[in-house]
Amino acid sequence: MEEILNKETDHNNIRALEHLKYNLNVSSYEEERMDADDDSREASLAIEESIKVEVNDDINFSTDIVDIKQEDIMDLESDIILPQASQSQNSNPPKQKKESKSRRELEEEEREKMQVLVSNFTEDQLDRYEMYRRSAFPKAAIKRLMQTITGCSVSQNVVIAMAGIAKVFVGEVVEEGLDVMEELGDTGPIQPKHLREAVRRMRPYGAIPSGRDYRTHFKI
Amino acid sequence: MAATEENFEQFEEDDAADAALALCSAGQMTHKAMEIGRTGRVQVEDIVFLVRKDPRKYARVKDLLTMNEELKRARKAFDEIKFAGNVK
Repeated sequence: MEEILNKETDHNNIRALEHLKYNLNVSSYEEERMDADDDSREASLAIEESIKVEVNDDINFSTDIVDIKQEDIMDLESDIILPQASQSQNSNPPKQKKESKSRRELEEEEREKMQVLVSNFTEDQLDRYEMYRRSAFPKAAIKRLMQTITGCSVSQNVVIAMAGIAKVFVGEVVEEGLDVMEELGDTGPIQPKHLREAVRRMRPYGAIPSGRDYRTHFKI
Repeated sequence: MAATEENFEQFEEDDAADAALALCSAGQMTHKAMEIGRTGRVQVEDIVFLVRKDPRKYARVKDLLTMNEELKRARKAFDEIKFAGNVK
């Protein structure tokens, strides 16, 4: 997805963009759920403003939410950076305070960077970004599908999680399809043959969930 | 602009095939999730277990669930404020 947005950004921005994608993806989801701004959905002229407002609302609304997410992220990080943790145990309390402050600052900085980035989009990029944020799988259809398969009712959280996974899956396949398209030298819209080739490439890595395990497990 | 609009349309047509693929894989994932943990039921923990190997999906699921919890809490708090305001 980042290839679509901006090929010239440096790697730091791309990483920040990915982080923010995950954060801000959720905020677009929250807008849909709260059913706010039904007008802005139909009016295509107000799209630019609505996206900027959305980003601003992010900052205003979710300052409380920021804490829990960061703790989650820090938990995952602290598992990985164990060797350094032993060194920093001497000055732990003041460092933790600094870290929590810098986490919030990082979040704020990332949001600001995202704001700057979005405000510099061309019309085309803005359209694509809006499509990216606002598209989603209908929860009713997913709930019906899952209930058909399981035979018993599924909870709402499960439906939400599955919808999110499906969207990420589509993103991955499309990215791979774009790579295929570049390799073949085609331009313009993605063709089904690109997508088929993309799926074929992703199968060995177990990225396509099927009943069978296509990954080759080497056995001695 | 017209050319880009055409691009979008065709993009969406091919994404229809992509959406069918995504729904099919979602169905497969549901099937697998049924066999994990409690058989016959799909719960959130099963889904989290299934995507643990894929960092993007894992992060997305975690974010979505956390945000959902926060939204529920915020909505509850907002409703209580409204309720208190009406009573007064």
